[in-house]
Amino acid sequence: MNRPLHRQPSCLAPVLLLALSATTGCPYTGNNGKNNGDSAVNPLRIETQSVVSDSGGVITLSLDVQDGERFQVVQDDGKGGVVFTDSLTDPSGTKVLDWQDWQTSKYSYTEAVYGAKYANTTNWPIREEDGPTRGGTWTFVGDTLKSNYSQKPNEPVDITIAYRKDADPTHGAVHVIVAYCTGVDSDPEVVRGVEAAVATWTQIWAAFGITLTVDYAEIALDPALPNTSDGEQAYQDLAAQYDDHPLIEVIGDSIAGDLTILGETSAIPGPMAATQITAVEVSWMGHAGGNGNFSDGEIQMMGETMAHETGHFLGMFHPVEDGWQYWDYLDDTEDCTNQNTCEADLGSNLMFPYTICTTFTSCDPQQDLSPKQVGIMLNYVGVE
Amino acid sequence: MRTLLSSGLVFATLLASPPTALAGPPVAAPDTITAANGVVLTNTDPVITAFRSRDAVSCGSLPSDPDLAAKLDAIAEADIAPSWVPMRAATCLGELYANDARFADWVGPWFSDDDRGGLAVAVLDGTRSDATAQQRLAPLALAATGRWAPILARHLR
Ligand SMILES: [Zn+2]
Repeated sequence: MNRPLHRQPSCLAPVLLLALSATTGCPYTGNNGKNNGDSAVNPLRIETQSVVSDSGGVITLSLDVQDGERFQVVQDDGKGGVVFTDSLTDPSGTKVLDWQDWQTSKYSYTEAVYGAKYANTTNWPIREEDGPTRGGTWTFVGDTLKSNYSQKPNEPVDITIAYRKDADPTHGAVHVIVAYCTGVDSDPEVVRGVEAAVATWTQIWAAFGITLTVDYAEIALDPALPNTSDGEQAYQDLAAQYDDHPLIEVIGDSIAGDLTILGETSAIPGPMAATQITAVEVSWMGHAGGNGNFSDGEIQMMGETMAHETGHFLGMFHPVEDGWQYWDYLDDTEDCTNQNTCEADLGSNLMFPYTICTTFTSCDPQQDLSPKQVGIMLNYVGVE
Repeated sequence: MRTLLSSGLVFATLLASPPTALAGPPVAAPDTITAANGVVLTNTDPVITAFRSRDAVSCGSLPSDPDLAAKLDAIAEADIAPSWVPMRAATCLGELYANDARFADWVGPWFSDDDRGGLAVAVLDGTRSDATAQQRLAPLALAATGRWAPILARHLR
């Protein structure tokens, strides 16, 4: 991923007032209801609200969080406007997330504080050491912004808040919908390659305690995909068909008409609520190469791309960015400062920014994750 | 993935170290390729390294090169892993050099070769913002047959 556009200081705004235009509290009783009778376990509950930002473009929400619950706030503008996360404050009044801490930081924590078009996702806790959450009333402050990042007052936004608490926080399960764009699954070689790559991805994540359940679908969309961050109504419509908030993995020919893009996530993290950016995109053609046929090595590469891009969607950054000056905010991935040490220390990591190929035709597997990287994925509320 | 015969390229490969006797260490893989257009590539070429990124690569910010067009053609034609390296080279060739005098000779054969149809799609995508280049490539794309024909057709703007 490229480093995102940082918020301009002009959008500093005092927190004014909550402007709820309507509230449609909606306890979720979908198929995640594997309630085993243990009241300490909350499979998933969802609240939705329609709000309007105040005259300063500010949205303030109160979240009723139970002890140990993970939660995710999705602000959905729905029209391509920018939504932004200002701060998150715990019940003791401690600001645990403040956008100002991250604008010029060398460390990447969450893109929520950079703002996003269509939908912005704040998942908490982010890292293992950010949890477990304290029960009580948490305060979330967000903003609606114009494309130049100045405030956009009185803007309607749909809010989805998901809460989850699991019996076993060391393992996770994810439902994935692999969706073929129109006509793509009529090519047997593409279907073979995609299914084999999904098996590789499943294997990579299983090694870290995350189990994938995969279903295949079709999506009525031109295989020349748009950028995920540009918003696509078909993604929202597909995601809305499922009660359990699966990850949507879209298979197309190319992304943004550009075969230099292999796969793309809409945001770090992406939203589990059904929005126009609820998707990870993968180009089958970029992986199959000029002859369009998948070798074993190409299948492995596509499986790694799926795991890498979806890893971004669940909140993981690259452990180091190419250029060696920006790092993820984890203390068990080395803050290396030059190519040699970065490749030596982190080159086998799934989230390393590029592949390492010691010969023209042979690239090293990149399937490792540090315990704290896995912790980020397990904290994503869409992971059961 | 791409064979020398089907690509029409002749690669002169140099061994990094000479073959050793039986039971010795494995022969080192060649680390240079001389492409048909004369460009000599090394496995650590900065352009190849840039194309090995997992995430998006911008054609406009590739490392500078005395003849980047020829290098992109050489990379596109070569057997280089990951497979997206040649595909990205073809895309950038279309995006940056559709008006180069050598362009048609380089990319034309891709449109009628099953083993290089993906490169033809990539070069079409690279010219997506260049109506003139798309017009020049359209007859080649529409004349394609076989598996790539419908794919090429849907990548014409
Ligand atoms: Zn990445």
